[in-house]
Amino acid sequence: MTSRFIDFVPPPAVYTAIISGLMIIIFLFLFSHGLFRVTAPGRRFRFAVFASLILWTVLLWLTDALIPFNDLRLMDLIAGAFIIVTAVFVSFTAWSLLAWGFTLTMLLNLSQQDSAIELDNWINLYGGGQGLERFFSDRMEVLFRYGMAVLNGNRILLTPARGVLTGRVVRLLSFFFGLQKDR
Amino acid sequence: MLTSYVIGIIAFAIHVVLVPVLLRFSWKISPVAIHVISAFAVHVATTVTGAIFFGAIPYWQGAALYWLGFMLYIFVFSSLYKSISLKIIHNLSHQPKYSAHLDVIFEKCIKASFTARVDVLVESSLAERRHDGFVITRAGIKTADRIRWMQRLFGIERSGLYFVSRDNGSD
Repeated sequence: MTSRFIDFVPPPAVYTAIISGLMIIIFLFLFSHGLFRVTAPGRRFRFAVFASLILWTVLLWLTDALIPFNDLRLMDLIAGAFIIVTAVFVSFTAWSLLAWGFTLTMLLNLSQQDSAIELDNWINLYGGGQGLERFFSDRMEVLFRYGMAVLNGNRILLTPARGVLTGRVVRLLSFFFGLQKDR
Repeated sequence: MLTSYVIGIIAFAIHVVLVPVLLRFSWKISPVAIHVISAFAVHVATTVTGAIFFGAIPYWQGAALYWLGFMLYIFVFSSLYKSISLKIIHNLSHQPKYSAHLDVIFEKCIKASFTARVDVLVESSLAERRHDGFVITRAGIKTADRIRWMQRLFGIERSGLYFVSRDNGSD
């Protein structure tokens, strides 16, 4: 489909990237069950992305997408790489919601109740019945693991370099997006 | 072909500037929907304008660059908008000596986030606030069933905590 102005026909490096990107969800399914099951959700996602990259490499080879290799082919290859990275972001967004979604888990907790529950009970249900304290320590663990914050007795403080710098970037971006009122 | 990339860059620059302006108005739709609507509008407008000005251009190169930029941009925005960890960092960055008592952060970032999400569930008619507490609505049951089906399809046994999920197998 080549219009007068815009060429919509994808070159091989691009259509193979689209196929490989769409396959991430299939690989996630394959790595979720049976012999190929990868237990941890985060690692499962990384395996799916890796499988998608291998598939793209194989498809590039099978379709002679880079032959003869010249500037035009290089541009196509870069576009294909952009498409793969976009597919990774899209699928990671959906995957993280399904595996770690806050609101989603709250809804699932509520759906398991036969009668009305008070807010405190709902909070206690969250995190497998261990309440928000467990959730708090889970999120804190993320900050500690990435060197953003440390504990000092009963206080939490940002680390001098990475934590403070991240804090400044977060403030700047919040201002940029007009999100100060939401924080 | 380079023209296609240039159009993609220009389009993304327009989207980057346009979104914060649009977000400062009050809309009945979610901020993420504003990102998406802006992205499609800018993409169509710049692609057509580019083709009119530059003649025949390949579509995919510029489009690939543009949509990658869009995803990165909305990813950053969503992290700022929803991430509890970034909310904690943001709060700490406003404290003297970048430090706060654990109880303060718990109330401001954790409990407040929970109640904010309760409001979201109530406003979207998935949960109902009654005199004796909260109950799930018919729409909420349907949504929860769909989520469970998806989780079974992708072998997710439980959701919510990063490290509980990882307890099922080290990440």
